[in-house]
Amino acid sequence: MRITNKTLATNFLNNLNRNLTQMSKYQNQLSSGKVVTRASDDPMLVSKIMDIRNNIGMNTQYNSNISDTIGWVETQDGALNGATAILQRVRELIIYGANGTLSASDRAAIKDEVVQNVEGLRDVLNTNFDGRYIFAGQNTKTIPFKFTEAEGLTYDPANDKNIMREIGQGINVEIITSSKEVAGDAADGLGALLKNVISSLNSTDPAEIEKLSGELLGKLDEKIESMLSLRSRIGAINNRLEASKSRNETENLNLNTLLSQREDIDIAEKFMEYNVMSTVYQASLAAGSKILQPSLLDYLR
Amino acid sequence: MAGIFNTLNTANKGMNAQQTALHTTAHNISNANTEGYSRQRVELKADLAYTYGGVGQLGTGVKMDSVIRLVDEFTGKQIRQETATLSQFGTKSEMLEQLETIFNEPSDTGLNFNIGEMFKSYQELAKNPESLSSRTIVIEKSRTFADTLNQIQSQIDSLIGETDYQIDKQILDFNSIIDNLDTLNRQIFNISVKGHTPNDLLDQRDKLLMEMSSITDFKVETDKYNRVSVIVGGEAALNHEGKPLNADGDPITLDLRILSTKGAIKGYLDSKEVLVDQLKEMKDYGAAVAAAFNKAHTDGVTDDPIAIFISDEGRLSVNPDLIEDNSKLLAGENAASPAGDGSRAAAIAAIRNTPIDFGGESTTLENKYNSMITRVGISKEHADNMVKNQEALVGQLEMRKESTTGVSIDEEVSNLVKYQKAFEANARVMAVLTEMLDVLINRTGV
Repeated sequence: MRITNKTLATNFLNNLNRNLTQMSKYQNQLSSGKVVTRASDDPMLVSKIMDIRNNIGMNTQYNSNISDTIGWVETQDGALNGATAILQRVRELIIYGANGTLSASDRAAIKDEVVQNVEGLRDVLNTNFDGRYIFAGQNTKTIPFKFTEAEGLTYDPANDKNIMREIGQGINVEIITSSKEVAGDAADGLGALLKNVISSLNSTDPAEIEKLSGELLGKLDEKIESMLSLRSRIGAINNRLEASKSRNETENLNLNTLLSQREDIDIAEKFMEYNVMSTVYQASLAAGSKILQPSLLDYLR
Repeated sequence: MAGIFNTLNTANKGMNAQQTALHTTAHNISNANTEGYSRQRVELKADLAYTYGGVGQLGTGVKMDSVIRLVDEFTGKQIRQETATLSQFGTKSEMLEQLETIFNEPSDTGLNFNIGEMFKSYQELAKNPESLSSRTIVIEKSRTFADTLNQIQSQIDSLIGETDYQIDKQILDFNSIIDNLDTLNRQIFNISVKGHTPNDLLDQRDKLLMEMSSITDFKVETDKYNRVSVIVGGEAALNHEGKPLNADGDPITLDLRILSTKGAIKGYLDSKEVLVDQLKEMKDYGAAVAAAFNKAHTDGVTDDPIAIFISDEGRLSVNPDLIEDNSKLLAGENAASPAGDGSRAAAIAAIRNTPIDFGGESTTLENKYNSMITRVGISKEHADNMVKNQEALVGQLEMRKESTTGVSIDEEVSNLVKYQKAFEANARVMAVLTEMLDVLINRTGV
């Protein structure tokens, strides 16, 4: 094959250009830290990366859902702890008030303390988390529990729904927010019982006072029992959420590792490749300056 | 006997021939970097001999036969064919690169990211259904999504316009080349008919054909006067005698959009097809998103159901009623539902993991988008690979062509020396003959 000056120049330029393209690719990867910057660099890899990113996005959101729900459930647990303590105190007061030897004024003083405690109970059950009442069913913006001596502890019967939270893809957890779950039926629940306790303490009728140590005390024990069992149910939900959270975080870590393996460059390796390429480029420049320079003209004088 | 004057004539012819060859060498050197130039050579041969009785044939010196150009017609034809393919895929790769830039994936600003952000905002609303600011965020994220989607559609649309513009421009270029070829054909004919070869005009012609090959694919036929005819897709774009005319004597215009099967025109046409499909797909995508979100937001709503997205043939906008009064965005079952009811927002957020019907293909929003991006990436990758292969092929063919037609400075300079020396030698012969004549005329006899 006959080789002309143009052949040399064209070949040189083509090779130089190829080297430069490769250099620019490495430079791009080094400066962005990413293996691919557009879909055509590696369509399947980009598809996978987008998929993983979506999953990480979802996972992060679920993590925030779980954290918020844990906060809610822990607040509930604290409130129920307070409520149980108050009911224990009311129980003590009932036993004290049932004592037949007490005078009417003594019993009135006990009644006043019971009323104070029930108001305390109302406040505890009206605890809010992040501006929302935790035992108000779904009516989270309205104060759920009210107390008057005549009516007792009451709530809106519409507050009977629980709240669902999505904590994973298609995984929902139900948090117990229903007022009914906490205070029982309007007719036969905690509210009615406390109303009866107060009215019995108010009464001078021995039969009523008799009821204090009998029927009412028994019912209060049942209520304390059911409060404790509600607390353990909420504790179980909390455990489930904690488990989900740790699983979610493991998964997040795995996904991020997976993403990094696919998306991020190995800096040491890239630098090596870049340096090799840079050497090749400089060699081709040097060779070019040597090959293209001389011609027969240089030797004809 | 060979007469001295006869020999003098032979030396004269020699000087003449060497000088002409040297002139052509100079012509080659001065055109060493001229695009499309083929090196030329003066063909020399021994002139007619005559019979010298009893001795044999005596030569009469050199004769300049012709000036030829060194070309490789077959390689030229191959280059034209492969250039058309190169140009087709080069164009396609360029256009698809622009499409990729429009999508801008993977990134933290593309549509994929915005879809995720929108679903996240619904998750937050499901968690905080009481909050008005959660609603504002949902509406803002939905607007960002709609804007991004619309922006992509507008950009693809203007890219489609760009392909049409480029095709028209290519056709204009093609027609102007045909005009130039027509003029050249006439000039070539005028010289060829006198029995000469118009080397430089033929080079110009070949260069024009080369330029044309990046526009479209075509066939060339050469007649005995070296005129070319150009045939695109079986229809004549140029005859030997001039541009083809219809029955009324008007020039026929070919529809290159139909006739081209390679070249830039075909590349733009292919790209346009991809872009039109892509635009339709994005519009269908918009419509499917709007339908899914609106259904989830209105299903079972008894009191004044209201759409989230308004779709104008796939271009989305957030319902202005919602922007005006974001409390109309339902987080719960109904407007009258308790403040803490986030079930509807949760149902909308769940669209993220629910397959949606995209005209027969049932998949999630993100997967659908992902598969579109992957497909564009694969098309671009294919075009890029074709370009790489064609570039290598054309490069190799160019080398082969260059090895025949290219000017080598070293070679020309050595020719320069060769012809110079020959010229000097011829002049020397003349000097010798002059001396001989001097002897004969001035010193012989008296």
